[in-house]
Amino acid sequence: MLGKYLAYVLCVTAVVVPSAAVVFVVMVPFRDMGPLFGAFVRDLGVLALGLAAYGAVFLWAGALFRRPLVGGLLFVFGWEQLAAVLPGYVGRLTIAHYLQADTTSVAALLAATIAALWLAMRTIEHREYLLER
Amino acid sequence: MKRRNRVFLFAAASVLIVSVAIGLVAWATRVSAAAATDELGYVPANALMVAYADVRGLMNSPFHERIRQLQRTNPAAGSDDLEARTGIRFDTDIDGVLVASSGVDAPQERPEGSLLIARGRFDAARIESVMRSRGGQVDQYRGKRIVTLANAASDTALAFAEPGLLLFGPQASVRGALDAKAGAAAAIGSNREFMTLVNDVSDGTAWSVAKLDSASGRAPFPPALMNQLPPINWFAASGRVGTGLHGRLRAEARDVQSAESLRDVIQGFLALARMQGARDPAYRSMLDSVALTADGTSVSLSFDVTPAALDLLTPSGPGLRGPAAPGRQ
Repeated sequence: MLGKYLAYVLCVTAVVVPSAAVVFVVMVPFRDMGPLFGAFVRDLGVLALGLAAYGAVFLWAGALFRRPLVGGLLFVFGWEQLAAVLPGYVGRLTIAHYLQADTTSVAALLAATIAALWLAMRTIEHREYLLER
Repeated sequence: MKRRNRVFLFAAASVLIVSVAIGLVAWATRVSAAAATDELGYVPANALMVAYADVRGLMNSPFHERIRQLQRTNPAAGSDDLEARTGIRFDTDIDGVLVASSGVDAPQERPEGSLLIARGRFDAARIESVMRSRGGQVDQYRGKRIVTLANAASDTALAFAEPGLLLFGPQASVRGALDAKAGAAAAIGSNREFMTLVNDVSDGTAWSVAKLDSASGRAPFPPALMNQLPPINWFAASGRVGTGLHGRLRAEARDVQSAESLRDVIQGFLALARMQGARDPAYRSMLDSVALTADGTSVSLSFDVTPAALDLLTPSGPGLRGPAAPGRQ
């Protein structure tokens, strides 16, 4: 399962991160790139971490739910959107919160990734699967 | 791994490497404080505020032409004082100017005036004769020629520090600047915090960095304004001028809580401004471009004044728009 997760991270990073980099090069005038270069590299890193964190959470959802697609959609378009507008500290219970410019937290993203991966592995370890013949 | 996958990963990695390399080249060749580095060597370490303007860049920009149109109906006195006292014509003789405002060591001391460091093409003989005709005295200080104009009304001095570089301001400030350059006094370059902010904003056509020093109460801004804001230690501003204006303001608050308070204050002002300017397309486009971010103790606000917004701000009277139209993009 860890192999599948690493394959996911590799594939999705290879698509999304270079795409974001191309958008930066195409959209930002050359003279503006210098001052923004630090933020650009930082954003690419945060983007990769976000992909890893979301991937780990959905891996856990895939292991936990019978229909993970529904749960995943509810999480992304339901909980993440709702919690972001709720007052107080509820927003901190979303991954998107730690991807925003003013509240970025590498530690929180890494912690979410590791925790979700551990939960996914634990779920698979304790579940019985019937293999089709 | 299949060949097709290898090709895909190789292509993705290549795109990423090329993009980052382009950004790296842009970063390495960016316009830095280099344009003002020599001038900063003359700024004493006790400066509270330093502002730089690429006068040639400003004067040649289409944006300046638009501003001139705006000012035609209400011309303001700008460099008349400098020209009257020294014979220097601001818009033709000067390429770049750096202004430094020094602080005082004790609160009861009277702050000095601002030091002006200008780079350009100066007719030294003419400038000296203008100052002599007004009672100026020629002197030597640290091997440089200083013309001082000391009377009841003013105590100013002008020094030709290098070919194409002159210092102008209160006598003590000019001498202090020469001391700093000679190494007899500390220069602002030794202040790492200050230089970090300078490097952050110096890509602009004009920029300014000010130490507000909320702890001691010393600040180059009026106390009435400072009392309305959360504690701020540093303030930096930069503007990049082309056909429009891209401006960026950055404040370094005393702590994270102060930064959050400052962000809330600015958000309140922006909300008020949006209510007031919602019906005016010029102000609305400016307000729509405003981006406010907070990162730790730092609060940044950026905005754009587009050529279209300037068009809307320019009075529509006959003959006011004509000359600038070809320069517009």
